[in-house]
Amino acid sequence: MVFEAKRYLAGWLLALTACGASPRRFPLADPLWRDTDQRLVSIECEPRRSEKDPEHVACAPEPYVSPLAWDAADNTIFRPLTRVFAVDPAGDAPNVNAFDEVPDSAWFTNRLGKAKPSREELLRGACTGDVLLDGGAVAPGSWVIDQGKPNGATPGFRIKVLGKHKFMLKTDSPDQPERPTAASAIGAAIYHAAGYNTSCEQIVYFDPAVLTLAPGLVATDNTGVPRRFDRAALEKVLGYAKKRGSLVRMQASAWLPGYLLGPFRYEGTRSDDPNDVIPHEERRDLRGARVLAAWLNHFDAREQNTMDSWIASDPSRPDSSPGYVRHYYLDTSDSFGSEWFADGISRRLGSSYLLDFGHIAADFVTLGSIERAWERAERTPGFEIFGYYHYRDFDPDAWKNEYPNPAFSRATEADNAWMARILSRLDRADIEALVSLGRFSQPEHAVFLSDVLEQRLQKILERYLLRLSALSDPRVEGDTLCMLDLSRRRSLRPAARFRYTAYAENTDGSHQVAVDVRGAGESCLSLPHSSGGDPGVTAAHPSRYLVLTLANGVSTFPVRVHLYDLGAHGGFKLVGVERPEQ
Amino acid sequence: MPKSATRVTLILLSALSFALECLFAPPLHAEEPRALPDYDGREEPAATPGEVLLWIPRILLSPVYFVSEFLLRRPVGFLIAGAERAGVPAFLFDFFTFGAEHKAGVIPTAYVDFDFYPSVGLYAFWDDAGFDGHDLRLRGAFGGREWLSASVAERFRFTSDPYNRVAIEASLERRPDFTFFGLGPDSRQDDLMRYGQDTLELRASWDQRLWRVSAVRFEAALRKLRFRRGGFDGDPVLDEAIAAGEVPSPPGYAGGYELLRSTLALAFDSRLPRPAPGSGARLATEVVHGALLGSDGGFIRYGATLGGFIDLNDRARLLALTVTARFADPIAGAEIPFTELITLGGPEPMRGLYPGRLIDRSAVVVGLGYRWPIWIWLDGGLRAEVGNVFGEHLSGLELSRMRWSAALGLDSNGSPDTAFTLGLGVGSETFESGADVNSFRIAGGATHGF
Repeated sequence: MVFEAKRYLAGWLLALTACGASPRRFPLADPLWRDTDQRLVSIECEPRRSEKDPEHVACAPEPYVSPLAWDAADNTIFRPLTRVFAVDPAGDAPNVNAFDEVPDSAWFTNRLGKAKPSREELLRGACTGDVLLDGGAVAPGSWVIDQGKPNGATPGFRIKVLGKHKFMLKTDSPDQPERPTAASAIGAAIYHAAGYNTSCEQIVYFDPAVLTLAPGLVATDNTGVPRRFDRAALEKVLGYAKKRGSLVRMQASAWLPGYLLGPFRYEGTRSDDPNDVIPHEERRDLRGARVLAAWLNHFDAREQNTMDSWIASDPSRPDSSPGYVRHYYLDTSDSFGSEWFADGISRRLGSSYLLDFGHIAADFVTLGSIERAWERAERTPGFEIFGYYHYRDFDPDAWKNEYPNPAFSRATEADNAWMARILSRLDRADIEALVSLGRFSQPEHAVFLSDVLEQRLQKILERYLLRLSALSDPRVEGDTLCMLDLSRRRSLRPAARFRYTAYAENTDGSHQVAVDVRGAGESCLSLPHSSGGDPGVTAAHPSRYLVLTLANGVSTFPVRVHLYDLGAHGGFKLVGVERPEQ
Repeated sequence: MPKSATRVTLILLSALSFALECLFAPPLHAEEPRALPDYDGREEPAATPGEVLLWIPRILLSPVYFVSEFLLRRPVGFLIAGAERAGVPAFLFDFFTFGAEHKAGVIPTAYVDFDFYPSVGLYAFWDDAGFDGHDLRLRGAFGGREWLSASVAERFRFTSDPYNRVAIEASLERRPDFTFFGLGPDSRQDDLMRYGQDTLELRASWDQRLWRVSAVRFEAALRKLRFRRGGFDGDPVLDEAIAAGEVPSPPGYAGGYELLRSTLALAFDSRLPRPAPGSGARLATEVVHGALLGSDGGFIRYGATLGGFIDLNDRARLLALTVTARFADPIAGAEIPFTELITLGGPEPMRGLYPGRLIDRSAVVVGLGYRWPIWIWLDGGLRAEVGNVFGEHLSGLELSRMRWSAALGLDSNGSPDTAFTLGLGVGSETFESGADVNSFRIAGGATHGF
């Protein structure tokens, strides 16, 4: 009886294995490049009273107030604990199209990854023409302060500019002058280039005479205590700002469009957004952002630094229906080496969670025999404004933000590699141009930051482009398939190490195909037509299916390209790209 | 009802209301969720054997998951998030800290030492009180009707180094659970007896940093002790044992004593403050003169600890070898109260033993310790020691009369005012009596400080 049961179980497992190994064909169709989550939806109206309008009715999702302490406690202690008992290892992200890419959505827009933006577009980021400020060309008193932000890491205030948008102006921190403002501007541009929705962040130098203080302003500080934001408070804020002659340096964050709904969560979905159906921790765009955060050391990548906005079809009534929710990344000012009040924390940021039970237990049990990266961390002489930001001990796999992020924690090799492929499109000149957005007073600071970014990016690419195939951007011209090898383009290995082999598998069986190695990372090959193809069968018939397996001799695994052979006249139709891990 | 109580009630009610709203309010959307697109157009892959096998632990752990997710995480989340949205953290921050820059505040404390009464308390601080460099500290702890402790300190910092300061302190303590095991090197753990002690102490001190972390300390203290019947958990009581003639009354026990004590402590330490590499040597010496009020006699207590430290990787992995010798001698033939004799155990050397475990005229301890960082504010500590108390000037010292102790624990590495400790220790009887391990300690919490 027991033997029979064992035999049954073994047979069952074998059958499952066989099923798992059977090829899964892509349909004869174009890949999905645009998700459906920007369709207009209507939200039930409800009274949403405010001081200004006690009778107000809103037809938009209800704003979410993110609980700062609970978010940290939950993600540090409670959530990791329950996830252990849930026995739910991360699987493939669902929002990945047939080309192993993420379709454009309310979260993400393919920019660098699809067609590299021009240098001008890259630098403009989310800043359209009408939200660019020129602090040197404004009339005195034309920036009206209508809200204060008296404390926090970066104090500031909100201004209304005639004929333009609202901006939050923030200063640098006195201990690391220019770094926070530069990190905001550069970080926002990089996130935007990678494909995320961001606010427009820019650095402005202006004469304080352009400011006009609205009377009777009251601002609530971090501890909930209301304080007057008067001339003295303004002077105090301006006192923190870096000066260039008579001009003060501040970071201007343009107000986001739409009706602001508060942060998005990195777990679950918004129950009041019918378009939000993929648990956020499963989204590739959010998972893959881990690599981007690691690059910049944006350790503060938590829900408080995100924002949802309801984009109503009628912009004149921002909280009206129909509309849809757009999701933004905000505030990268912690990037590039932000330091905290305790040196022990500052040197750990990016290497260990603030309360990292794994590290604590390991260090206790091993009696400290593991020498940690943060123990070796050093500030670079002459570049102290960047704290411990460096490439020396940077390990992309080991990078951690300040406390666990549900999406980052579930990032798979495929998710990380996806973001690495996107970032690989940035070359040194792009990085230098992006760093110029920081408007550093000392040119050597820009050079240092560019160097560190370039070296950290190199480590990311070394890690994620040499395991899964970095062959990308497939295109078919007639009977020729060409792909771009991002690892060769970035010279991750000497050119001689790249040895391409390709096998085509169709109804004729499997046979090798010669690969023509071209410049700039491109490789092309002639696709073989099936000899026994029956011209009478439908275009989508299985007999027309061709799978091409292409290896570059450098990455551990090859890429598999799926095509339909539409005959001598129809050519080939590219339908899928796979980057298997086995 | 006081205003603060009203505010607390309102905040709790609004937190509860938010939690209920989150639990029961229907979502606002009026439309059906969108259908998930078929992103890659392919059929779903078949489950792999690994995925199938995962159901075994998943099912086995499902009750634990249910409890942790639905009975712990979500209710706690609703409460904390609701409390946050209702402003409770800001309220608590304002409640426990004061002033525009929050330089004053109150922090709850707790301490548990197994086989002693646990205590809870409050620690209050006020930095730059009235003027820069003037700090106030207040500590109160409660461990039952007979367990009370309070202290107050006023400090004046006179340089940028906060170590350099003059302080005036007063403390009182009333506890019933002190332990007494007898005097001399051969006392046994099984002889544990309890007594009560009331202590009142006034101190004035001056601490001055010298070269590197070398330092000097002067202190003058007025100390008053009274002993009384104590008890804990049915343990034998010292008063009863004395009355039954089983043990003689320890010196000074009968009527208590008042003492004027002056201390000079000088530590020579070749090391630099952390995070500099910790290799070096330390010689810490202390001389205490005690004048028993109401008599012509007194005592002098003196001793030194010599330590060598090797930082194994120059990153705070400290291996330490220390030798400690302490002596107490009477002046003018006075009888030294047992609580002023040399003591080992508890916070003193031989940490695996109970506080007050070993008492006599002198002591010697050799210790090997290792300390290593495990978190921003925590170090791990491992310590093995061999030593004992002996008679006058180590009379009777023999290796076979030594005993050993070991301790493993965590200690905070920041300010002593907010020290945290968690550890367990073991200790033995003397080697000649078989070195039985019969002392076990587990202690943890935060009460220490000034």
